[in-house]
Order: sequence, then C-alpha cells, then structure tokens
Amino acid sequence: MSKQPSPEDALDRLLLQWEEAKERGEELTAEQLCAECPELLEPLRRQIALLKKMAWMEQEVAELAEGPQAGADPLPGQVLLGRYRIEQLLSQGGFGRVYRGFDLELQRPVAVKVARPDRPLSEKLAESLLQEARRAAKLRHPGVVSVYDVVRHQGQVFIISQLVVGQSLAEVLEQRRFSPPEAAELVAKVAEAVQHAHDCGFVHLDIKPGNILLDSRGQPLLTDFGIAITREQLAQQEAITSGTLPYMAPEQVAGEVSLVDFPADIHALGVLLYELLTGELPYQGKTPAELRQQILFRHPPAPRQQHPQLPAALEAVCLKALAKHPADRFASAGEMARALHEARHKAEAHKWLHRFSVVIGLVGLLAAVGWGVWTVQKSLPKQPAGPGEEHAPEIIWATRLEPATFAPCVVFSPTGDMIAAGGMDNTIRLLDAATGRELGKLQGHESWVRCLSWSPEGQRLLSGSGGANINGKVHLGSDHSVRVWSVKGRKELFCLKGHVAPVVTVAVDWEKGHALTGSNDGTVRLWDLEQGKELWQFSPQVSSISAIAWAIGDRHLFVGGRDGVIRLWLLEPRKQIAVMNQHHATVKYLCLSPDRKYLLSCSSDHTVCLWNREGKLLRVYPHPNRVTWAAFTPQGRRFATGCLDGIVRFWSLASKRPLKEYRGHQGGVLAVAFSPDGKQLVSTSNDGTVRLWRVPDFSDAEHPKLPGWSDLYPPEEAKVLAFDGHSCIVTPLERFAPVTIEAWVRPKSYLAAGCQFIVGATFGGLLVSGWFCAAGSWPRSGFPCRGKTPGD
Amino acid sequence: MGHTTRLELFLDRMHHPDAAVRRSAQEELIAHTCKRLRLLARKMLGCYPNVHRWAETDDVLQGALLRLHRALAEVRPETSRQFYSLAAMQIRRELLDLARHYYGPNGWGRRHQSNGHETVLTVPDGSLAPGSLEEWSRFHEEVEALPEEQKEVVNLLWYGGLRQAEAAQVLGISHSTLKRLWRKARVRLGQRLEGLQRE
Repeated sequence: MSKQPSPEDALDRLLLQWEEAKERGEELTAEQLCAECPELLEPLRRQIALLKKMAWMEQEVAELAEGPQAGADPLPGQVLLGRYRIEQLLSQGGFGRVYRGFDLELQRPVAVKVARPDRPLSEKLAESLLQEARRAAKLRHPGVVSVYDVVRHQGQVFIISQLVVGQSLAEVLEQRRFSPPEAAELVAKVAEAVQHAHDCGFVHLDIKPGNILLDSRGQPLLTDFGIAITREQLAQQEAITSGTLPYMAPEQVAGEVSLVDFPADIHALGVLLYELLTGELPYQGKTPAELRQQILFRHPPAPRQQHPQLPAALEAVCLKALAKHPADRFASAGEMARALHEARHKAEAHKWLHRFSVVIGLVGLLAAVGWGVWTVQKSLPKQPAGPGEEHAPEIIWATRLEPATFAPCVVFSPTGDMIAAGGMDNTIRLLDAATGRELGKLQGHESWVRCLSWSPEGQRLLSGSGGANINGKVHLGSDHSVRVWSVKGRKELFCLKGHVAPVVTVAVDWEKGHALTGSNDGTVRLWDLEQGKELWQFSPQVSSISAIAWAIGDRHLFVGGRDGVIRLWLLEPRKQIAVMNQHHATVKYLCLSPDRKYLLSCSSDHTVCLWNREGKLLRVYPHPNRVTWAAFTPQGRRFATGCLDGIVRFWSLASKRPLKEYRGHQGGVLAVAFSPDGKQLVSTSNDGTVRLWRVPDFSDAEHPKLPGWSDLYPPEEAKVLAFDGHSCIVTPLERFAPVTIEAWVRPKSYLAAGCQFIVGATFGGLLVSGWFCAAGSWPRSGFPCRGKTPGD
Repeated sequence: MGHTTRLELFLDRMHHPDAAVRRSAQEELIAHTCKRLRLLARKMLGCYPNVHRWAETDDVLQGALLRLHRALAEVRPETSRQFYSLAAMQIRRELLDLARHYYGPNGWGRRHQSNGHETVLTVPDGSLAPGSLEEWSRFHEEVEALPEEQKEVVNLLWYGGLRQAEAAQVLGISHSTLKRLWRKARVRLGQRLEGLQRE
C-alpha cells in the first residue's frame, strides 16, 4: 500500500522542484506547481516568496565561496567566434544568464544571453533557445529588443542581442506608480511593437511587465519571444499551455486553441494597462482555479470604481481590451495604440481642466473655510452632540474625551447603559450610553489601557495595560498589569502582575473567575481572579502576541502575532492544532462569534478574515487601510469593523461589501463595540472622540433578490446556482456570498428540470460545450469546478 | 584541491608527531578561518560608510581576529566537522560583537549626531538582506537559534565558505539532504527576519 506523503513532505518536494527549475533557469510559479494540490498553494507561495527574499544569502555564499573554482565564471573574457567578447554578468534569471558583451567587428556593446553555463544544455533547451532567437531575429522595430546573432560555442547556445541598459517594467513597478498619461503612452508604445510582431505573423502570448524592458530614456522594448508562435503554428493547433496566468486571455485559459490569435495579446495589453492604472491586476483569484474562473467569467472591477480620478476614456480603452469575447476587443493592437494616444490627450486636457477647476474651487473653498471652522467647532462640542448635528441620521452622539486622549479599547456594559473606554492617558472613562456624558474615571494604571472586559453582572471591569508615549515615540511603558475594578465604587479591587511587556488582549471566563491574557512578551497567562494569582503561562510560539480569542467552553485558543500568523491551540492537552496563514502583517484583533462558530481576524494588511473554528479560511473582507477592531452583533450574523481610514463598516457575513459605512470620525477608528441589544454601535477614534451610532435593521437589504434565483438560497445553504438566461449564479463551497458569473460564453439554451440545468454555451458562434449542473454541483469538462455532487 | 580536502590534510598534520608540522597546520587552519571572518566582517561593515569615518575598521577587526586566533589555538579538533562548528560559532560571536560595537547602546554610532545607527544600507526591494548593523546582529542571533542540523549547514556554507558538495561531505549527508536543510534554514531565517522587520 502506498503511503500518502505528509503535507510537509509534499511541500518539500514542490520546493525542491521549484529550486531545481530555478537552477535550470526556469521560473515555475506556485500555481503551476500546485495544479494537483491546491491546498498547498498558499504555504508554497509563502515559502517561495521567503526564499526569493532570502536569495541574497545564496548569492553571497556563491560570491564568498572559496576553493579553486571560487567565483570563477569561465565566460567573462572569452571571445565567441572571434567576434563577441563576453564582459560582465548583468543578470541571472528565468532562462540563464545575461552578460554585457562587445561586438569586436561592429564595435558596439551587445547583450549575450546563455543558458546557465554550469548546467549541461539539453538538446531540447538548445533547440528552444535557437527557435526563440530565430523568431525574434525576424523582428525589427524600435519597441522590440533586436536579436543580432545566434552562436553555438562549446555546446552552449549564445543569443547576441541589443543591449538595453535599464530595468524591466516589473522592477520599475515595484518602485513607483505611473500617472494615467504615462501609463497610456507606455502601453501605446508596447501596443505598436506588438502590432509589428503581429504584422510579421507572430502572436507573443506572454506580454507582461517582466517582458518589457525600459531603456535609460524610459522607452519600452518588448522582449522574450520564448513562447511566441506564428499564425501558421496556430493553424496547426499546437497546444498553447504556456503563458503567465494573470495576463492570459479567456480563450488561452480555456485552451480553445482555435480561438487564440492576435486578440489574446490585446487582452494582455489590457491587463498591463489595468495594472499600470490601478496598481493591481484585474483578476485577483487566490488559487489558479479561482483565477482561471475569474478570467473566464468575471468582468474585472472598473478601474474608476476604486480610482475615480482616472480618466473615463482610459478606463474605456482598458475595459474594451479586456473584453471576454475576442471579437469585442480592439480589432488590432495598432487600433488600441491609437485609442490610447487619443485617451491620453483627453486625459491631459482633463488634467488642465481639473487644475483650472481646482483654482476656481480654492477660491470658493477659502470662502467656505471660515464658515466650516465655525461649523466643526459647533458639531464637536465638549458636551455630547445632539442627533443630526453631523448631517448623519445614524449618529446618536459624539463626545470628545477630556482631557484630550485616544481610547484604544471600548466596551459596553452588559446592561447597555454604560460604556467604558480605555484611554492612552492611563485612565478608564465610564460614559453614559444614553448621552455620552462622562460618569466617572477609573485611575491607577501607569501605562495605556489596552484591553477591557466587563463582568456579566456589570459590577466589575477588568483591564490590561502597557505602552507609553515618550517624546513622541512608542515605548513599552512601565505598567504591564491586569487590574480588576469595582464599577460602582470606582476603585481598583486588585492588580495582577507578571507580564513583562504590554498586555494587549484579554479574554475572561467570568463564571469561573479565570482571565486569559496575551502580551507582547510572547506569553499567554491564565489568572485566577478569585485568588488574584497567576495559574499558568505558556508561550504559543509567537514572538510578539498581538491578539487572542478564547472559546471559553471548548478550550480553543486563537493566538495572533505580529508576524500575521494565527495559531490555534488546544489548551487541554496543550497543543497547537492549526496554523492559519493568510495575513501578511500584524493581526490586530481577534473576535469570536457569540456561537463560537466563526472567528474574525483584523490585520494591518488591510483585511479582515472570517475563519471557522477549525481554522479554515472562509472569507476575506478587504479594507482600504489597516483594520484595528471587529465586533460581532449579539446575534452573530453581522459585524462591524474599525479601520484607520476613519470609517466604521457594518457587514453581513454573507456580504461582499459593507451593508453600511459610518462616516464622521476625523481620524482612524481604534475600537468598536455593539450594545447588548445590537441596536447601537460605539466607536473610538484617534480624533479623540467616542461616537455612538444607530444600527439599522438590515434583514431585507441583506438578501437582495436577483432575477432567476432558484429556491436554493439562502446562501449559507446553497452551493449552486440560478440561471436567468444571461448569467449564472453559483455559490462556491466555503463561500457565503454568491458569485455572479457574467458569461463570456453565450448561453444557447437551458432546461430547468427540478434543480438541474443543462446549458449549451456558444463562443464565436460555435457550440463549445454542454454543461450539466445539478443542485450543489458545478461539474463540466474543461472549466474548473469546485462543487460537489448532491451525493457527496 | 577542494578546501575540505586541504582541510582534512591540515587536520592530519595537526596530529603529526612533529611539533613544527602540527604548529604550521594549526596556523594554516586559523589563517583560513580568520580570512573568512575578515571577508564576512567586511561584507557586514564594508558598505557602512560611517564606520569608515569613525575609525579604521581594521583596528576593530584586528581585535576580533586576535580573539578568534586565541580561541582556535586552544583546541585540537579531531574532524573537519568539529573544526567548522567551532570556527563558525567563534566567527558568529565575533561578528555579533562587531555589530554591537557600532550600533549598541554605547556604540560609536550612537554618539554621532550625523546619523549613526539608523543608517540603512541600500538593499534590494523586498529582500530580507540585513540593511543595518542591528539587523545583522539579529541575523546572527537568528542563525544561532536555528535547529541544530540546519545551523550546521549554515555554519558550513555561510560562515565556513564551503561549497555545497564540500559541506555535504563534511557532514556525511547526501547533497540533496544538504540542499533541503539549507532551504529550510533560509525559509526559517526569512520568517524570523520578516517578523522582526514588521516589529
């Protein structure tokens, strides 16, 4: 019986494959390697990223290695065919190495490309290098890197080409963004080069930033005709599986060889333009399967949705190039270039108009400022503001903390009549929930109050402390204690000391009298509140704990760290049972749903993630800035998030976008909490205010009715799907919200038989496939499928 | 002749009945390690402009070399593996001291108004290559904290300057095992350095 390799072994093998390919000069992506095992994609991607970031060690080991062959690259100094002198290594990557060389005959610098000299060159690789050179040698255009010659020397193939001194667009993109006119001009120039390749009968099929070099004047040159093929080859229907997935056209992804032609390059130009304009790729699938599905079926979000300042004309060019159907794209790359030039001129005119209107606007603004200052002062009085004063009907009151401070944590009393806000002035303020008036202060901490918990009977409050601001810099502070307070008596009952760094998070089992605290010192400690002593402590392998969530009943403990990783621990017997890798920056806050089925994690990476209790990622809620806090409603199906962009967002677990955004804070939101009845929401901000908001009833708005929906909804239950003749709607497993598939394929006919659908789809007037969809399934040939059959 | 083979010969000579042969072998071994320390220290300090301005790096390095010399002179390693493990530990210790010497609380960098410890070297974007002496110091500390077998591989390749085939031979493991350990060490170091960077 063959033994299944452990995930660690499997990951090891994939990394080995990746490294070996790298040594051969090939760059394999995590997606390519994980085609058979998508569950390993994330860890693999992470490890590859780490290895790339640590490549300096390998390079330096090679540089500093000793011995007779140390650093001895035999190539520099050699002269190929008595003509090309190899001078200096310029780069090492995908294919092998690129050297600066010199053509002794024509007395000009050249680039010499060679497969890794330390590896024997297989006949296949030699042939593919030769083919690439032959292909590129036919092209002569200022926007295409010219190939001058191909040389066979001592079993190696050397490609002699134009020397471009500069960087690849991919490298430049890592350093800076392009303005819309710059982006338009650059893509237009690349499009002209692509048109030239098309005129010569080539389809490039791998246009991406890494294959565009920018010379010292910033002029783009298209390179790497490694997988380009001629129309004749296309006509012979040779397989086209290469390419770089995010830049591939739907017909390329679908493997519809008969449909792959020049428009595939136009699609890639569209992706490139989109990336330059928005800084993001149009499709952001997390797995190759998801990405393929998006390329095939989803329309990319319009660039102006996220960046409204972008010129509409450029957006139109971009979206046209990204059309799913090849016939809907530009008729040629040249046409796209012309459209881009036109859009660029419009954009520049728009810019001047905009500047002019800004000047006019400024005059108006100056007049308004005097009035505005007066209004702001009115709207944020020392005493609570009345409803409606901030033009937001949902605000109940806003109050400024006096003396001025920020509250990094906030909690409602169990009766809902009081709010406690822990301040950076080492004080806990008790506020009247009805008016926002301050009822009293709890003073005793010597550092910031970082976390709070209110006992169910409302009599006691527990706080954790740490952190101080010294000369404008954040320090650990001197007080790393946990204190328990009498709310009525406004006094400290006792103080628990033991942590040696700020106590940033606390979870309390008030019934048992146990408090679990997490600290930046990397320990979690359990305290007995009756006896006022530490029961135990342990280090959950996190160097700096930033958040914990404790499922009190079943002893599950989630520990988030500054490394972005959440670890799931079982407390009895104590062992780590899951490592949740999704965030790539500090986990700021963890929050369990009241039924303990779900966990929300907030992170500095601008996302909130929803996990199940086994540590499986269910959903990601993107935010425009760092997310500081999340709170579930008492019913547990909705939640609110606080974000440093100053907006409190109210979400349904099923929603892709917030159901509501509460705007009013003038600074980042630090903490949020719901009232016990879920009808009010309190938020604190680094504008120094606390605000109470009204939570509307979203029961209807949450489940929008869509045409053609089957009765399989609600989304928690349904796995598939509805079909209205134009679009399919499917809820993939593990997801809550439906995904609307806006068909690139044109449905020909469908038949609804109970919960079954038979769909014929056309593409380019050709019936390409018949799909069979049953309830809970999405099976068909060719396209990725993530569903299960009803029997599963 | 590969370095390890030469080293094995040195080690043989260290047990030679003739004291003069022993001494010369030991000198050669120590010279090799010192050369390595010098290389790594130059790498760490070399592109650190202010260090040059404050002092002649070699003065400080000289002190480190002397200590290394003394430490190695006291021992008689039996095998090349033992030798490398010891040498790497000493090199790491000296490099840590050197780093702290410049950026630590009483380091020269601290006392200089003009910039000092916060100067960060230009490292490629996204790379976790240490950019400051403080980061170098953390790097060496993180190597120290690696699991034993990974640490040994880093010792040989990084601190010892051996090539992979030589290192595999010294450790008596296959080349592929060595590569796996080297990879794991880099991933682990990457994770730790990334975590520290975020903090």
